Amino acid sequence: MWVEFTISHEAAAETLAPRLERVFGPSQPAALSRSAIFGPNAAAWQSQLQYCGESQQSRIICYAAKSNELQVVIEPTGGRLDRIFQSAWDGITTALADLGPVLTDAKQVDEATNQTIQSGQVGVAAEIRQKEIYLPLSLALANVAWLGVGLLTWVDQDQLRFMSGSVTTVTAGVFAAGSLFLNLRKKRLRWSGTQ
Amino acid sequence: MTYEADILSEIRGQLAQQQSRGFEDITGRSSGPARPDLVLKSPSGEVVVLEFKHYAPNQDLHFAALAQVASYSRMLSEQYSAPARALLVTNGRVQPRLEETARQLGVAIIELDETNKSSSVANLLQNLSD
Repeated sequence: MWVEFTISHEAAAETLAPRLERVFGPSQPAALSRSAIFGPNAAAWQSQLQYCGESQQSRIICYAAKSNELQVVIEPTGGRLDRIFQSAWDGITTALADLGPVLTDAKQVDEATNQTIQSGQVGVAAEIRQKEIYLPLSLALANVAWLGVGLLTWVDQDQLRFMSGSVTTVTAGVFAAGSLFLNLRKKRLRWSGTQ
Repeated sequence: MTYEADILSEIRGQLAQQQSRGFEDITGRSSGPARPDLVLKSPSGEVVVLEFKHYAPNQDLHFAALAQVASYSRMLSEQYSAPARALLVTNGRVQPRLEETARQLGVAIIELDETNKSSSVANLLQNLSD
């Protein structure tokens, strides 16, 4: 299995290789020969790539299709997949930090079936789709709306008591909003099935 | 039906109508890790490897697709001890740099017109016979 990223960014005057090496370590072209999809033609690929690196958990292979787009393949070799992919994405955002990197496409491809099994996304839309975010957040918002309507219309006595019933839901919503904010700052990569 | 499955069924249909033009469909007979979408054996004994990649509108063809089909072609050429031809069929935008890399790897990239599938497939099959 491997992951494909397509990242658009502002065009850089220089090659991206030194930036990628600063984050992922020196390029190791020899690692290409151990790759499932690049291995059979490793020699031909070596001169085409911006970067090829290998750690104990993954291989990362980068190609600049054009001056403002970096394409990346990550092949896991051990460890937890979600952490490997997040770590690769974090590394790329660090390497291209001043070029405004934007993940335009991310997919996990299963080599046994040659099918895309999951698609990845970062940003508000991806976060909002997470159950642990949208459930407490929507309940809290509904509660706040209910409180507002109640306080403005029929609740003129025991207002504090009326509001106290919503404390736990609103608190959960605040935590969910905090979590959403942190995940957006961290550019957390979210995966969802395509089959 | 997915794009790949749709195109594959169109190709198989047109091949059947034309008595396969001498091409034998040997997809799935590979014993190795290569899993191309379609593998044909030409009348001259050449192995033709076709891989389909569908992208969202205005998205670029990814270099992994090129690496994948080039790798399949190499593996199947060794397995059948025959020359192999790799064709990558896609609706993705092909950047000039990737086109150049494809040329160096011996992969032909065929851009499919999704609005006129039958004629695109007919052209593809005509290319196979040439």
